[in-house]
Amino acid sequence: MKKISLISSAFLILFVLIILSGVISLFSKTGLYGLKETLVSREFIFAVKFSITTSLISLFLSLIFSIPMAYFLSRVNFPLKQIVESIIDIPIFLPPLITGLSFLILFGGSFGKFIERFGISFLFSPLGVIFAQFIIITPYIERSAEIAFFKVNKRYEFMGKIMGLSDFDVFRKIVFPLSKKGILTGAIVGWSRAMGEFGATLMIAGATRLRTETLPISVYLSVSSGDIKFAAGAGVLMVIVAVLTLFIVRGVIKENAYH
Amino acid sequence: MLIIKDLNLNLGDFSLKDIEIHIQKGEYFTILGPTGSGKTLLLETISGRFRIDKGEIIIGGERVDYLHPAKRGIGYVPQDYLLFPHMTVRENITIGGACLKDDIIKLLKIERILDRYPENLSGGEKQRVSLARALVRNPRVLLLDEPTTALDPQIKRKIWLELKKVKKNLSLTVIHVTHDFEEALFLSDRIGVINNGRFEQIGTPTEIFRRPKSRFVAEFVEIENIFKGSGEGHYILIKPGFKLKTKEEFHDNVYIAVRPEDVIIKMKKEGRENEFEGEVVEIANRGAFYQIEIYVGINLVSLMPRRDFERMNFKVGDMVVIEISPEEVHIF
Repeated sequence: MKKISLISSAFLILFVLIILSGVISLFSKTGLYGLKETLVSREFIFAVKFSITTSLISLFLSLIFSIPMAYFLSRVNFPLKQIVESIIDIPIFLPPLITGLSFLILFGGSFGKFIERFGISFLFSPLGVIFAQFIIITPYIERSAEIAFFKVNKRYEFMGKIMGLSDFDVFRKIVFPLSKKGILTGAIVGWSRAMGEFGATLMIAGATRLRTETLPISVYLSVSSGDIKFAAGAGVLMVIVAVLTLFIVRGVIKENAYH
Repeated sequence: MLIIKDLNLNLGDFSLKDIEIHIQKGEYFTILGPTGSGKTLLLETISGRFRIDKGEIIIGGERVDYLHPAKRGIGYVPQDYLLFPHMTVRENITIGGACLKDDIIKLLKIERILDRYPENLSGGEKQRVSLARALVRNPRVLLLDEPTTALDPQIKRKIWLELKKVKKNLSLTVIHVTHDFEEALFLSDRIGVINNGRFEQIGTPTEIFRRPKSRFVAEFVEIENIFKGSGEGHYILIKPGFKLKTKEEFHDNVYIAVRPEDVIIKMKKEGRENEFEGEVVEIANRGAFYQIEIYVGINLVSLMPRRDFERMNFKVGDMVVIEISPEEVHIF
C-alpha cells in the first residue's frame, strides 16, 4: 500500500508541476510591467468587454433554451429520445472547429442569404460570436440541468399538486429551487467555456480586430502577428478567470443547503 | 364517505386488481400488507398520482377519479413525509395558499418549530408537520402512508395515541397504510389485508386476527400454527395420532390455524376436548410472554404470559399437556 501511495503521489506531483509550469511560463513572459501594459491597451479592453458581453448574452440564451429542454427530457419518455439526446450532445463530442465549419457552410449558403433579408447575419459578425458560444455551451448547461432535475424526487411534484399548485408553480416553487445548485454549476461552467470559446467562433465569426475579437481570438491574433507579450497577458487574465470559476464551482458543489 | 368500485390499475410490472372498499364517514380503515403488496400504490391512486384503467373512486358522493389531486378533498401524509427541504415548516404548511390553523398547530404541538427547516427536525416532528400540512386543508379523507415506519418504537406508540386523538378531535375519515399488524390492531375500526395488488380479506381487527380467510392472512397476522388436514364433520386429522375437534363443520382437505396464545399448556390432562401430551422442545423469552414450542407429533407454538410460565416452571425436555379449545381451531 505504501509503495502504491508513493508511486501515485509521484504521478500526482508530476502532473501538477506540468500544469503549473505552463501557467508560470505565461506569467514569466508577460511580467508585471508587461501585464499592466496589456491591461490598459485598447485591444485588450475591447476583448475583455466583448468577451464578457457576448458570453453573458450566450449564457442567458442558453439558459432560456436549456431549462425547458432539460425539464422535458428529465420527465418525459418518448420514442427516439436517445437519438434526440445524442444530437444535443454533438457539440460536446465534435471539435468546436468542425461545429463552427458546419454553421459556416449553413450560413454561407441559401439559408444564410434568406435570414440576411431580415437583417440577421451570423457570418463574421458579433452575432456570430454569440451564436458560436451558444451552440458550444448549451449542451453542457442542458445536461447539467437535466441531471439536476432528474435528481429531484418526482413525488415532491405530486405533493405540490396535492397542495393545489399549478404545473408552473410546481416547477417554480419546488423543482427549480431544488435543482438550482446543479443549474448554477452548469451555468458557471458554461459561462467559463463561452469565455474561452475559440474554434467555432473563429469559423463562424472570423478573427477581426476590434470587431469579433474575444479574449481567445485576441490571443490568436497576437500570436499570429508575433506579439507574444500581449498574448501572454490575455492568457494570464484567462487563467485568473478559470481559477476563479473553479473556486466558485467547488463552493457551489460543497454548499449543501437548499436555502 | 369513500367508495372504491372495481378499481383496476395496470402499471406494467405491477397492478391493482378488483379493489372494492366502502369506508364510512369517521371510520379508521387500515390497509395492511407486506412490502410490495400494493398498499402505497393504492393510496397514491386514491390521491390522484395515477389514472385508473377501470372502476370508480367516490368521495363524499362525488366521483373524483378523473379530478386533479388538489380537487379530490384528500390529505396525504407520505411515508417519507416529503417535506420540501428548501422551505420552513410554516412555508411547507401554507404552500398552495393554505392557512396556518392554530387549533391544528396546537393539537400537533408544532408552534415552536414553525420557522425551522425540515433538515433540523426529528423524525417525530417531521411526521407531525406532514400531518399538519395535510390537515390544514380540511380533507374529507386523510391518507396516511406508513406514518410511523421510520420512527423509534417508543415514539411510534406516542404517534399512535396522537393519531387517535387527532382522528377523534377532528372527526376524520382515515385510510392508513401499514405493514405493522400491532399498529393496525391498535388504530383501526376495520382492516383490509392486501396481497399482490388484491384484497385478501376485509374485516374488523377481531375478524382478521381470529378468523383469517386465507393462509396468507393467517401467516401475516402471525398465526404460527397453520396445518393442512383432512376429514369430515367436526374432526380433522393433521397427522396420525393428532386429530383435532373443531367447532365449525367442514369437508375434505382444509387448512387450520390456531393462534399461539390459544394453545394452552398445563401439567396434566383434565379429560377435555383436544388435549395432547407433548415434549417441550424450545423456550424463548419475549419479554411479557414466553414462546414455547411443543412436539405433539407436530410442532405447535404456544404463547404464555410470563407469570404463568414462571409459576409452572417447566424446561426443555419436560413432558406437558396442551389443550386447544375447538372454538379456537379456525378452518379455511
